[in-house]
Amino acid sequence: MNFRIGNLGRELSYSIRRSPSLFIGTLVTILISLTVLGGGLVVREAVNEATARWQDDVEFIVFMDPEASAPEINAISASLSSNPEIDRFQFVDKEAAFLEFQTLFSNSEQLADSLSVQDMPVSFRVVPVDPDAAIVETLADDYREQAGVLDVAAAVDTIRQIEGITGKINQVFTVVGLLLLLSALLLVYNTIRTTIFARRREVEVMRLVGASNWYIRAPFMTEGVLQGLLGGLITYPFLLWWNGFLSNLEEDGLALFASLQAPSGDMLWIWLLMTALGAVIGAIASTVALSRFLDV
Amino acid sequence: MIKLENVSKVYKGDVVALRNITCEIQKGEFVFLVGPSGSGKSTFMRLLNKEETPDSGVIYVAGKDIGRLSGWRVPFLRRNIGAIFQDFKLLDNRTVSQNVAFALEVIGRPRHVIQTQVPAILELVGLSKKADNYPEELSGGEQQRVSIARAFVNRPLILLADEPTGNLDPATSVGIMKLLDRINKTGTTVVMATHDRGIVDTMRKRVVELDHGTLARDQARGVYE
Ligand SMILES: Nc1ncnc2c1ncn2[C@@H]1O[C@H](COP(=O)(O)OP(=O)(O)OP(=O)(O)O)[C@@H](O)[C@H]1O
Ligand SMILES: [Mg+2]
Repeated sequence: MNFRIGNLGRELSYSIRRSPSLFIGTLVTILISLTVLGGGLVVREAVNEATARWQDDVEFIVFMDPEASAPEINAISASLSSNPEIDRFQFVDKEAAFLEFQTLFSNSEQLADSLSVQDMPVSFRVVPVDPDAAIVETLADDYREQAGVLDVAAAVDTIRQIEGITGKINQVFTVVGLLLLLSALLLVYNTIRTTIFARRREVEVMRLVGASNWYIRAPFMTEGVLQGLLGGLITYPFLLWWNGFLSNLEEDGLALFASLQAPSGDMLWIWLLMTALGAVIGAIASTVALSRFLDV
Repeated sequence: MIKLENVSKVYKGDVVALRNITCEIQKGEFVFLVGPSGSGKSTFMRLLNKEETPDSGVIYVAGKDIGRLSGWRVPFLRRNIGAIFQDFKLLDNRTVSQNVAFALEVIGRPRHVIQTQVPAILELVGLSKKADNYPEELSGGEQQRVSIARAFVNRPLILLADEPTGNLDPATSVGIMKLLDRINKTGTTVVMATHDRGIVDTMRKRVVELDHGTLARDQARGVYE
C-alpha cells in the first residue's frame, strides 16, 4: 500500500548497517555459488560453439606414409573421388604440411628444426556426405587398411573426448554450485531471521494496530530478494573473467579449437539467468524464514 | 459491541484459561476485568482481537462472528480495537510523535492525515511538549500516555487495557484513569483488566470477575471484591 521503490535502498542499507559481516558473507557466498553455476554454463556454451564449427565440415584425415609411392597416393585419391559416401576432399602436400607443422610447434624450435619437408606425410582431408559419427568411423577404418596409408585420424574422436570431459566438468560445477547455493540459501535465511528478531517489537506493534500481513512481510521479502539479486548482478565481471580464462587455455597449448569462448549473447543470458536464480533463492529463503519466525 | 457465548480456551498442556464464559458488553460501556493472577483476564482480551482463538464458543465483535473471519481480514478487526499494556510496548528508536505516527503509517494512512491527527491526539493526552522526546526520556505515566495516544489515534470502537496502571504509582494512575474515562466518554468501549482495588472502588463501573477461568461475578457499578 504505502510501500514505495524508494524504500528498497533503505531496507538494504538497514541490513548492511545492522550486521555488515553477515551481509558481506552472505553476498560473497551467493556470488561464488552463482559464478560456479554460471561458469559451468559458460564452459558448455564455449564448447558447443567450438564443436559447432568443427561439425560444419566433419572430416577425417588420411595420412600417407612418408615413403608411400606415387601410385599408392593416386590410388587413394581415385578411391576418394569415386566413393559415393565422400562429398569432397582436399590434398595436402609435404610443403603445406610442413608449414602447418611449423606454425603449430612454433614455440618449440628444436622440434621444428629436427624435421624437414621430406619427413612430412602427405594427407587427404575428407568431408563425407553424411557427418554421422558411425559412418565416419567406418569410412576411416576402410582407408586405414589400404596400402601406403600411415594412419587415419577422425575428428569425431576428438569431439567425443571433449564432450566427455565437458560433461564431467559440468557435473562437478553443478554439484559444487548447488552445494554453495544451498549454503547461500541458509545464510539468507539466517540474515532474515536476524532481521525478524531485531524488529520483533516493531512487528508486534504493527500487528497490534492492524497492519496487513503483506505490509508486515514486505520488508523482509524485499531484503532477501534484494540480497539474492545483488549477488546475481555482480557475477557478471567474474563470468567474463572465466570466459577469458577459457580462451587463454587455448593459447596455453590446448590448441584443439579455433576458439574456446562463449559468445557475448550467451554470456548475457547466463548472467540474467544467474541474477534471476539469485532473486529466487532470496525469495525462497525469506519465505521460509518468515513462515517459521513470524507467526501472523 | 462485544458478545461471548460459551467461550472456552485451553492452552497446550491442558491449562484451562477460560471455561464456558458467556458475557455481553454494550457499546460505550466501561468494564473492569478483575480476578487473581492466572484467572484468565489477559486471555479474555486476547480473544477479542484474535491474538488467540477459542477452543469452543462464539465471539461477536461489532456484530460480526470473529471466528469466521478469514486471516487477511484480522488486521481490519484490529484497526477497530486499540490495545494498551502494562509495559507500554513503545519503540525506543522513535520519538513520541513518531511512535504515534507509526500506527497510522503501517495501515497506509496518507501523510497529510498523519500530520494533523498526531498533534491532535498528543494534545488530548497532554504530551504536546514532549512530541520530539524519546520514550526513555519520559516517566512511566508519560510513556503510558503515548501508548494510549497510539492506541486511540485511529479512533477505535474498543479499547483494551491490560493492567495499564500496573507499573505506575497511585497518583500517576489516577491521571491515566481520567484519560481513559475521557476516551470512554467519546463513545469508545473500554475493557480494562486490573489488580488495582483503589481504582475499581472509586470509579464504580461494571465489574466482571474471573476465577480460575470461570465468570464468578458480573456487577454493575461494582467494587473490587
Ligand atoms: N500463551 C500461553 N500458553 C500457555 N498457557 C498460557 C498462555 N497464556 C496464558 N496461559 C495460562 O493461562 C492461564 C490464564 O492466563 P492469563 O494470562 O489469561 O491470566 P491473567 O488473569 O491475565 O493473569 P495476570 O493477572 O497474572 O495477568 C494461566 O494459567 C496461564 O499460565
Ligand atoms: Mg494478564
